[in-house]
Amino acid sequence: MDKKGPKEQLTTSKDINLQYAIKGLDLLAAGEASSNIKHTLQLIGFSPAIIRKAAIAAYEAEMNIVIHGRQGFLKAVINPKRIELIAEDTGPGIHDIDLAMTEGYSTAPDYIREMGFGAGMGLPNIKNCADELTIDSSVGKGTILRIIINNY
Amino acid sequence: MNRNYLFSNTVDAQKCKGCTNCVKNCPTEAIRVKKGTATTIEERCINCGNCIRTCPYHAKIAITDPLDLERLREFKYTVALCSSVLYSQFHRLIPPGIILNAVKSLGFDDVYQEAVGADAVSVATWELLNSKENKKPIISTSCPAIIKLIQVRFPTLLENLSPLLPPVEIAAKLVREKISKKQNLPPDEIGIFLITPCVAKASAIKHPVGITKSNIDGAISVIRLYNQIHSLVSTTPDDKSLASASGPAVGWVRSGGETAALNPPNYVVADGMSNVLKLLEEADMRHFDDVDYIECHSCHGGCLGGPLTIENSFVARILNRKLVRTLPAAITEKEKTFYKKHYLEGYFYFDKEIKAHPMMPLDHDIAKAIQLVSKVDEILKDLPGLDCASCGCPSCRALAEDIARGSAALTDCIFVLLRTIRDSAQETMSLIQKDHRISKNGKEPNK
Repeated sequence: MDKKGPKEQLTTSKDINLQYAIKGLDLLAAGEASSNIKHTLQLIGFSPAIIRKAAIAAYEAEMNIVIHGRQGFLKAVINPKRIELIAEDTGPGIHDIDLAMTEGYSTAPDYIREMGFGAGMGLPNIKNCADELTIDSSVGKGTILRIIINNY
Repeated sequence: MNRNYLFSNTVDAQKCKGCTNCVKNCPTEAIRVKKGTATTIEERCINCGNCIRTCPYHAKIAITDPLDLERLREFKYTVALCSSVLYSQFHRLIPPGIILNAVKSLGFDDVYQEAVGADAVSVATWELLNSKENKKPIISTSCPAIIKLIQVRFPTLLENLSPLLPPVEIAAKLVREKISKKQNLPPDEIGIFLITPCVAKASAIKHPVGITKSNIDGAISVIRLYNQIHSLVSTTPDDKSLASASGPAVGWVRSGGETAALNPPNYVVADGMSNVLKLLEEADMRHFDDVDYIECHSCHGGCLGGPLTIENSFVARILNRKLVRTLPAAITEKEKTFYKKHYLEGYFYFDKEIKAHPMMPLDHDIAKAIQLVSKVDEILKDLPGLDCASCGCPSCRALAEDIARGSAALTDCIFVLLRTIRDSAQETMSLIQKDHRISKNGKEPNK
């Protein structure tokens, strides 16, 4: 073991960047990206509570792209202090963000809801897990979700 | 024999060929083949018995007690605590009273049914479900491999585990008190031996989780006693007083039997490790927060599919169903009141915290672990992605993680090794070809 101070160690460790392409309506592969992110967080050794929050947020963000977005990606930037998740899609965009944040409000089509998805809990669940959440959306163009979970 | 093992299976190094069947079937990636022999990473093993089941050379062995009278003689009074799985091992419907009586005649002073514990825990769990004291969903504790799986893979679900002891422990606790009173014996002079199809339960006796000391003294596998019991059943009389458990309680060993006995409003059931993993993964994502009860069995079909059984689990399932129909549908009101009183007095609860044992991170220092994760990704690029397990690890990813941890080498991969040999052979060849003395003598190869 080398005897570097904690400060020095933090500067030498680079952030981990994970990026996964997500295809809209690809229900077969849905959940793979968030599952990979979860596994990586377990390897790093974050506390189970932090891992659970990040895994739920990543899963819901991924499912949002699958259900609503046409094409997109899920990105994770991980460092010892925090986990940042970015979900970007070229989907329909969100008309009314406040309304979309309401529990149970859903614009998912019926056939998606029949499969057990689109219960209108995605964004509220993300909000419950995130320390910071910013939603940048323009109708007809797409949505960028930025989620931060602090490691404390 | 060394009894200081942490887990209940061992490898016969003579029989093990290093084939990696167990490596690939281990749900927690706990086995590696090193120097041609399977070795277990102890802190990851959950005692599910999958390795014992899948080993084609029978090199993986469960550690249980032999039925030697020596061990029984350590106690003044001995009890065989019989799993309900035993009743469905003989290919036809035999009354439990005959089977229990036959087991008793093997040299025990008494026999008792594990199912009595199931009757008691059913009452207690019903009270718990109605008390709303617990976080939804409540996860059953009847399968010890599931408890260990949750400790290792799903530590956040520990708070959902039922706080109540499994039927096997309750049955042992009840019978010890009963006999201690009846025979006027100190409790520790009574030896309780579990007749079981389960590797995890055998292990939990020596290394109990959630309790300071197990109420059971030893475990004997169903396989070991099968022949002896089988030869006795045709001549043994049916002693109905030995078989007091209700039908639903006997059904607990069948996947779905537990929830059939409890009948909670909203429940899910999974059996077989791969299905359980999927279910718990979803529970970890809070998808089952509206579900009251989760019943999980490590083995396919429930305990009837245990690694130490004789009968095919599908036949056993039918026999169990048929048997359950011939037994009383419920216990008496008097018994119910008795168990309810015990429940309210705290009789059923675990007395120790069940702690998390998360899978080993790459390093205990997060910053270092992050560096190692990047290294894992780099290493993965060099590996073929075939998950062939020839290296002794379950997958290319697992090998990459082991290399990053420092417990494996890149050339453990047979494809990397071949590539390395090819490259060095080519290098050697080109060096030889460059040598002017050889080419001058006209001995240059490849031309």
